[in-house]
Amino acid sequence: MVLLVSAALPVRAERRRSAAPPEQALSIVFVEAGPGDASLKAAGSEAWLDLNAVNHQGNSRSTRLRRTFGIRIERAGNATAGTAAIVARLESWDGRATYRLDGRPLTAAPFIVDAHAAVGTVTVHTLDIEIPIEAAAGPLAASIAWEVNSN
Amino acid sequence: MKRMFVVSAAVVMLAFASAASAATSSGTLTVTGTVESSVSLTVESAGGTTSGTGTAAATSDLGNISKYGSAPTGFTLARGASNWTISSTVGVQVDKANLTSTDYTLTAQLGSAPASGVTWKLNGSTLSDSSATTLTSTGTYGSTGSYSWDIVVADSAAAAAIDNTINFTATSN
Repeated sequence: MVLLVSAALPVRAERRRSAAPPEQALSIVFVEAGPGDASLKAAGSEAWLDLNAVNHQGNSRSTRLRRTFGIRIERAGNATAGTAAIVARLESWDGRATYRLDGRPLTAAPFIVDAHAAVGTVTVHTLDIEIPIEAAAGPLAASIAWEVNSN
Repeated sequence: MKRMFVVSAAVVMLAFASAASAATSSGTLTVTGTVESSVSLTVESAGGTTSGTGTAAATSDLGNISKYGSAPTGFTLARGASNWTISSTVGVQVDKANLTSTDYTLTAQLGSAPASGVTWKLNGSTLSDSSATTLTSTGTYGSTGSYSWDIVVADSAAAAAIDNTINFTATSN
C-alpha cells in the first residue's frame, strides 16, 4: 500500500508541473506613465530613468526631482487573473541622493510596494530623488531591483 | 491505521500544489544623471522702494530726487559744493550647491552708460558699463554681504532720468 502511493505521487506532481508553468510565469514590465515624461526608457523588465543634468534651484537645502512610471505584471498566455506582490529594493547607489518610492524610503532592504497588484493592470508609482546641496557634483547612478511574486 | 495514511497522502499533495503555483519575476530600474555644481545670487536688500528682494532681479524705485529735496526711502542725502550724493546699501547673497568652493568673487557692472554727470559707486568703487568692478574676492556663501551704494550727481547734470541696471556676477573661487 505504501509502495503504491509513493509511486503515484511523483507522477501526479509531474503532471502538474508540466501543465502549470506556461500559464503561471510572471513578468514585470515597465511602462511610461505619461507621454510627457521622456526620461524613462523601458524595455520589458528593464528600464532606464535618465535625469540628465541636475542643477539646484531655489534656496532649499536639497534638489528634489520626481518621476512617475508604470509597472504592469504580465502572466504568460496573456492571462489577467490573479494578483501578485511587488517588492523593491535599492540594489546599488552612489550615495549622492536618497530615493523614495511612493513616499517610502528606498533602502537595500526589500519592501512591499504593492501586496496585491492585479495582473495585467498598470500601476503607477512615484520615485522621488533628493540630492542634498552638500553632495559632490558628479554622476548619479542607482539601481532599483524589483521582484514580483504571485499570490 | 488505514485512515491515518489517507490523511498523510493528502497533505503531501497539497504541498506539491502550493509549490507549483509560486511564480516570481524580477526587473531593474536604473537611474542615471549628472549632478552639476551651481551658485545662485539674490539681492536681499537695497535702498529705495524695492521689489523683488530675495530674487536675482530686484528693482529699486528712487522716485524724484533732487539736491534740495528729501532723500529717497532708505537713502541718505549729502550735499557737496558742486554735487550731491545719495547713499544706501545693497545686500547680496550668494549660495552654492554641490560645490566644494569655499568662497566667491563678486563683481558689478552697469547695464548702460550712466547719465552725464552721474556716477554710480558700490563699495566706494565707481561702476561703468564697460568693465566689471570687483566688490569682493572672498565672499562668504550663505550670508548676505552688504555693499555701500552711492549715486553722485553733479550740479551741472541735466534734470533727467538716471535709470540704470547693476549687474552682479558671482564666480566661485
